[in-house]
Amino acid sequence: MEIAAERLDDGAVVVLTLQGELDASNFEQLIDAAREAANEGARSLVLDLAGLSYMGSSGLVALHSAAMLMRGEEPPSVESGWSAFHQLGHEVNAPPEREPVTLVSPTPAVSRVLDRSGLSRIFPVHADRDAALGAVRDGR
Amino acid sequence: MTPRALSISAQLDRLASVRGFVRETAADAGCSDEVVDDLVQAVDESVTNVIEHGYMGRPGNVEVELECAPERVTIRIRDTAPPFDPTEVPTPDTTAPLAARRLGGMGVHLARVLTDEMRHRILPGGGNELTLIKALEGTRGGSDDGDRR
Repeated sequence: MEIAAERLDDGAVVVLTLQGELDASNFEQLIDAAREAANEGARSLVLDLAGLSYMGSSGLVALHSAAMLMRGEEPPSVESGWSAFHQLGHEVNAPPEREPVTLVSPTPAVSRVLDRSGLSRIFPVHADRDAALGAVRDGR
Repeated sequence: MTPRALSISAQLDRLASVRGFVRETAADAGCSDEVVDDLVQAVDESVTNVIEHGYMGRPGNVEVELECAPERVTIRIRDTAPPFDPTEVPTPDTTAPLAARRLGGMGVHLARVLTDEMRHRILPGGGNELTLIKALEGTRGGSDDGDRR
């Protein structure tokens, strides 16, 4: 998988363009790219998925982790073990806020994974990059 | 059709070759594009779990066998890892907001919903066998015009 980063709005928004297949062997690359963006001040991440032909459930972990990083939270590292990953998650009563990760033009195979995991209801999905950036800048 | 099998070392960087094997075998058998995608994902998730939760970093092998019949595809995934039964993994709540979700835990769920049957057994000589069955009723067209959906 290839990841290209583009900083916009003085780095407040970072677009990551993903190419190839996202699976358990490389999902940490996406978390690392999100962490680098967060460390440089990004608070919104736009993921262009048009070139991503496959996303395994590890990719869903990467999306979840990226959202945490954009909010200034640190996700558990893989080195701390999968049990740490699985223990995360707690009861919440507050209504869900707009997630700081926006998805652009997922391929049909990736769309189905997002739908079946329920993440397409959590992360905004836009047909093209301009629409996604417009929504991010408007706070939609 | 005679079953076709692939054996890999239990390493995450071999997952792409597993997906390629499943994609090619299922497509050769005439499965629709969507069925091929479902099988690729179900196997990728299951083999990932064997490597991460079965072998847990220890060396070993994973064998993936596909048997394509007109009415169903049967997949058997065998390993020599300590017992790991994905059928006992609880179903996650896919309607929960992000903050209430565990990070991970979705792989078994995907393999379950993408197939029609999931069975696990301990092999007589040790190790695990996971059987995934996907019914093909109504998904296989008789035409060969390239539109296989």
